[in-house]
This record gives sequence, structure tokens and C-alpha cells, in this order.
Amino acid sequence: MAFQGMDWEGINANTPMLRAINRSFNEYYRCYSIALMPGNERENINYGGKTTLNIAYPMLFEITNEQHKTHSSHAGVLEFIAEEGRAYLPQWMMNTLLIEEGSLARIKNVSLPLGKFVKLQPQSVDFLDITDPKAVLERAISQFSCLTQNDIITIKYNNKLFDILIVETRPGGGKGISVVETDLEVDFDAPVGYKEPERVVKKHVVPADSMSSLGSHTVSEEKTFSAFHGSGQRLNGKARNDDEKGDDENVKFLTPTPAANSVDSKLKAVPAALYLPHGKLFFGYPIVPLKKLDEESAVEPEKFTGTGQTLRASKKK
Amino acid sequence: MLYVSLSSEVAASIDAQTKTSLPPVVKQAPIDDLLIKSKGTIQRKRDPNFCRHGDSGMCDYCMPVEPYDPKYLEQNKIKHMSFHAYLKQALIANKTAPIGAPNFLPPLEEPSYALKNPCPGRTHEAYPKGLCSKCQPSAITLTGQNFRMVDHVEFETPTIVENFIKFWRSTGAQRFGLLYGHYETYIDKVPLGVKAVVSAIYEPPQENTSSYLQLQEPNKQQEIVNSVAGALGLDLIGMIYTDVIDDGTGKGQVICKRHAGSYFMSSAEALFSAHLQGQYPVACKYSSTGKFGSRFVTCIVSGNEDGGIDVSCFQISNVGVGMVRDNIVEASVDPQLVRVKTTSNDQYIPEVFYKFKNEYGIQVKEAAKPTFPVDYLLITGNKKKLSHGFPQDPRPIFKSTNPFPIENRNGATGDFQDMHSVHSRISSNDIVSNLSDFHLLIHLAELGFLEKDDYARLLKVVQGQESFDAVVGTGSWQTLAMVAKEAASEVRGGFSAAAGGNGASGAKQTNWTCRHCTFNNLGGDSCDVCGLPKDD
Repeated sequence: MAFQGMDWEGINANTPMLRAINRSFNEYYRCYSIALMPGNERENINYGGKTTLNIAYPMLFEITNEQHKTHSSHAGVLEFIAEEGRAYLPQWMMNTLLIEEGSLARIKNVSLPLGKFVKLQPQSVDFLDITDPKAVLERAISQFSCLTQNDIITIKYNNKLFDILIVETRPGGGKGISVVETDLEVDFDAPVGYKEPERVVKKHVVPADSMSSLGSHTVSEEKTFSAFHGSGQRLNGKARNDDEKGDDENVKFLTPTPAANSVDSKLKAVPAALYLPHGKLFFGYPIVPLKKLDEESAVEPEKFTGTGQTLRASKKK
Repeated sequence: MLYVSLSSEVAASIDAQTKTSLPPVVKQAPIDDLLIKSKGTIQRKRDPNFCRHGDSGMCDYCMPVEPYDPKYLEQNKIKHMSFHAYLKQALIANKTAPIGAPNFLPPLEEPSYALKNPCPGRTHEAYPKGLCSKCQPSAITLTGQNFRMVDHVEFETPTIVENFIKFWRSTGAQRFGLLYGHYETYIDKVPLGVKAVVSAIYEPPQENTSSYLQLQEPNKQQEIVNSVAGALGLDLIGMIYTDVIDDGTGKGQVICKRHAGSYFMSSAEALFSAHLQGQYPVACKYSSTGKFGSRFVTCIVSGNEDGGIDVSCFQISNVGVGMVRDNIVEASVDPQLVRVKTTSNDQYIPEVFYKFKNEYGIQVKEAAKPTFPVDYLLITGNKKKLSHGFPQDPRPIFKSTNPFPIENRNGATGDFQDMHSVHSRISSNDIVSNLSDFHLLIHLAELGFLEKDDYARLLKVVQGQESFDAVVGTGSWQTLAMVAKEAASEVRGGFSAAAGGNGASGAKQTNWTCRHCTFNNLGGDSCDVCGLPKDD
């Protein structure tokens, strides 16, 4: 997660407790010697020159909502430019922690383990429209130093915002994981609101009894080598279902995919052989209705409707 | 001096060898002999536009034109020349010597797509171990065939087709029939044309549903049918089957499922037709194999564009027949496509190409593997069909106005081939007219009451060559008549299997209609169908 700006300048090493407040705040701080315990509870910002600053790199912090101590998350540091006593958090983190503007938060330095695996769940099906989710996510997560389980992070791509829930992280243990300079294995859950596409059942006039169906007379072919199988991707991100039916008709004879017994696959592949016993005539092929000529002309859609506009300004005077 | 002569055995064997190298004498069909003799040129009158001579002169423009002249064919919109026109063209083109001459070389060849085994060059072992250009079949380019073996199909009377379709009307199941008839010249429409004239449709034993039909083989009746037909001068000229589906609107219209947008013949049907065409070839002296093409037509009864029932007639091209005979194609589940088999260790499949106009309007030659459209196997004509029709003044061979029930229907159309129906026809006054019925004649032959000679005489009676008195006096006919009468006098008894008649003897012959179920009973005092007594 990238902080908008989290700056600790102005808070010297002696502060016992740090506050993240978005309003001006003046406080006195006490000084403490270095004999402070390691694994310090309090963040110590002023590391000018003092190498005894007990802090692990990369700098990762656990932020806990003071009001609701159960809500916590982890974050790294973007910049140190905020005013004294203030921390600026991204909106999604404020939502996760249920912090309102100006409320207190406890910030604690932690060392997080390097992440190995993370499972993400996009919160909307728009995520599926992205053509290259891997590249998008890589870029987005590179802005983060760490990820926490059950966080909902927001990323922006192509002027759109996508919410992603972190379902699971490994190594687990309730803490976050550090994602700085690691190879992270990513898995996806189905986005919220995703429906399985319904299988379209093709209607046939032929009754499906065993003797008269085409299936009883075909034999499935052995698997043939198909060089370019796969569904293909469009560059503009549209789903392939938007194509007109005409493309399917061409595809069905060119792709040498293995023909199975099912009727659906036979339309997209080389049609299987039909073995009829001698002296049998079969009439049960799917019926293609006759297109009357007048119907065809009526179906043609209107093209280029609407009044035209001319760019040339009318000559006045 | 030493003189050497061949011993008699060796001389005989050499003679035998040379004799077998001559092709066997081919006996052509009468129609072929007739058309071969005619010159086939079309007489033309003096052309008013171009001829510059008087009435008694002749020039290029009014010279009799050859039957294969492309301009003439185009003018008269004949897309395919007749077979004999094609033959004449081939004879001229190959400068073929007359048939008696020793250097006579037949100009026509039947296509063969199988490997020549053993290889004529004898340089290698048989396939799959070796293959060379001498033994491998050449590549096939599917072009349309520009001639037709049959130019027109005529049904003697519309009732022939009507009775055939009646099966579908009663049961909704499809039906198959074999066409029996003869060939006549059709020269007024097509130069040297041949038309097939259908006299009767014989329906073999079969299993029928609305989506398929299965012929039951072996058919024991076939021999009898063939002999009866042969004796009457009829040949097997084709087959007919229905593919009719009611459109469900109740208006009596049917679905048009065979049209330019779908298919006219499915690939399985086309291959079946090609198979049968291969089994009934035309004997031809001018072909290297003694046979060329076939006149076997396939007629399909189906819905036309207006929703009415119509007959369409097709033939498969000679290339298609060759491909099926040499087993290089197979049917596919898509009716519009034919699959080409792939070369395997047992069989070498030659390359197949087909030409078509692609989307840019260019003639393109495309490899026909794995599939090619069925249309390339059909002899394309106007709308890819052979023309068919009914004659203006019908002069049918079978004139019966009281049609005998058709065989192998098992009562589907409500009538049986039982002794009752036989009796009703042979005991009436119109016996000669009633006998003029193909189905009755087959049935009588099957019953076997008539001796061979008597039956032959009966057939002559039907053909009008003898009078009926010659037959009625014979012992076997009397037996038949008596048996028929006995059987018919029983109440719905006889040889039909499905009859549920009472065996009540001494039953009355009077017909009465049951008051309850309106069944027309032949006798007895209780109704056959509902069992209720005949109350007066």
C-alpha cells in the first residue's frame, strides 16, 4: 500500500507514543535514552545519525485503530513529507481500519515475512474485462510494500478503480506479508457477482431415441494433432462471444479439433463420419428453414440513421 | 531343310489367348442401339438474319447443327448434353474407327481411383511398400459433368406417385420404392435425349419411421419382381423415397427442408445413390470396360418452396460413382459435406480438388480434404434436378382403375394383400383391366398357384398380346379362382396376418355397417371390430 504521504518529521525520538491525526497538534515529547527496549513499541522517526534506531528494513508498520483495536493493517512508507504528528493514509486503508478523518491510530514497526503466495478476489466482475490482469496487478502491487489478509485494496487501471480482497496470504499467521522484492504466487477467486455462463442447449427436431439420432451412427475420432488450438484473444478486450455468427461458420471447417460424439462439438470441427448400415436412409438432420426473399430484405438493419451535421459554418453577412 | 510347326495343343492355347484379349461383345440396350444409329444432327431452317442464299441452298448458318454444339445448347438452355451427344462428340474428337475395324479404340473411359495392383511398371512391390506414378491413381478434380445419362423422368400417371405417397399420408412414416419402367427417346427437347418412363413403383420390405427407413435385406421377393418386370419388358430404372414432414399448422402443408440453403441430397443419400448406380450400369460398346455410367435415377419426394409435396429427381456424376466404387469417400454427419478418407496403410487415397468461385469472384481450386460439398457429386441441372413430368395423354402400361393394395405395407393404408382383395378383382367383369396391375401380378406370382407357362401367358394377356380366354381355361387358373373364392367367402379370413376376423363358417356374404362403430362388415352377425352383435 502506498501512503499518500506519511511523514514523521518533527516528531523526535523521544516521543513515547505516536498519533496519526489530521489536524494540527502540538505536543510535548519526552526524551528517552537508547536503553529503550528493542522491538520498540513506539515508532522512532528521527534516525538522523543514530544507528541504534531499532527498525527493520524495509520499513513496514502495523497500524491499529485505537478505537477498534481489532482492526489493523500493515503498510510501508511512501514519503516523509507530512506534518508533524500526521499520517496520511490511502482511502481504502481508512475504510479497512474504520478510521475517520482525524482519529487516532497506533503505528508500530514490525518485520513481516516475505510473501510466497496470495489469493485475491476481485470485488466486481469488471476485473474480468482486463485483457492482461497479470501485468496490471504486477504494476499495482509494485506500489505496495506489504499485504494483509482480509484487506480490500483498491487499484486504478485505465481510469477505472478495482477493489480486490486479499483472501489469503502465505505465510499466514494473521500478520501481513512483505511483497518487496519477492516472487509472489498469485491465485484468484471468482469475483463477487460472477455467474457461470449457462450452457446453451441446441434444439433439435429429431427425437433423441437411440436409433434415429445422429450420435448412434458416428464414431469418435482419434485425437488429431491441432497446431493452433485455443480460443484466441482480441486486442480490444472484447469477449469473443460478441462476434457475429458468421465467424463460427468459417471456423467449423478449419479447426482440426478432435470430433467427439456430442452434437455441439460437431459443428465446430470437421464433421464426423456417418456410418449407416447398408440399405438405411436417414432423414433426421437438423432442418434449415427456407428463407423467403422478402423476409431477408426486411431484416436488413438501417444503417447510418440520424441527421448529418456539417462542419462548415454557414456564411453569414 | 527343317520345317517347324506348332503342335496342335500349343496352337490351341495361343488361339485361346488371343481370343481372350478381345473384349467380349457388349450387348447394348435397345434405346442405345436406336440412338447410336441416328445421326443426331438438328435440322435448321434458313436463318432469315444471316442466310444469303435461296431456299434450296445451305450455308454455315443453316447447316444442320451437331447435337453437342455448345452454342445450340446454350441457346436452348440445355445445360447438359445427352449421353449420346457426348458419345458422338467423343467419337469425332478421338477419330475413332468404326466399331468393326481392327483399330477400334473405345473413346470412353470409366474413372478408376483405385491403385493398380500389381504396378504396371513392375519396379516395386505392392502398396504400402511401394508406390509410383504408374500405379497410383491420378488426382481428381471435381468439375461438373457436362452430359447426362438420363435427361427427363416421366411417370406414366400421377396415380403411381399418389399411391406411393399415400403411405406417408396414412402413417407419417417415410417410404422407399423401386421404379420400374422403360426408356424412350426424348429428342424433341434434348438432341438425342433419353427419358425414363416409370410404369410402377415396387415397395420392398422395409422398416419405416418418420426420420429414417431401413430396407430389409435380403429381399426374397426381389427375384420374383425382377422376373415379372423382365417378362413385361420393364427394367429397374431408379428408386424413389419420401422425406416429408408435416409443418404442424394443420393446413396440409409440409416443411421445405431441401432447398438451396440446406441440401438437396444428403451425403449419405448421395453415396447410396452412387452405389446403386454402380450396380446398374449401362452397357456400352464404346467404353473400354464395356460399361459406362448408369441411368439409375433417384427421386426424392419432399416439400417444395410453397409447402406442397413435389418430386425431385437426381443422378450422381460418373466421377462420384467411381469414387464410391473405389471406396475413397464416406458420408458425414453434416448432410452438406462428403468426407474424403485419409490415406492409410491399406488404401491409398488420391488427392481430390474442387473448383468454386470464392468471395472475390475468382475461380479457385481448393483441396477437398477433409470434406467437400455434396453438390459436386450431383449432375447439376436447372436447380440441380432432372426434370420430371407426366405425359399429356397418358398411355400407361398398367391400366387398372381398381388398384390392388401395395405390397409390404402391412395394412398401413388400410388395405391388405389378402385373398379377399384378389378375389374381388379376379371375379369381377373387368378382370382384364384389373389384372393390369403390377402389384397384383407380383402377388399372384408369389402365391404360386399358376404354373410357369400359364403365368407367362397371363403376362401376355396383360400386355394385350393374347386374349384372356387362353388363361381362364387352364387348370391352375381355375385353382386360383376357387381358392380365392373360398378364402374370400370366410369372414375376413385368408392370408393376411393382421386380420382379426372371426372364423365363423357359413357366414353370410352380405355387407352390413355396424351401428356402433360404423365398421363395414362383410358378414357374420357380430361386428369384427367392436364385437357388438348386429342388432336389427
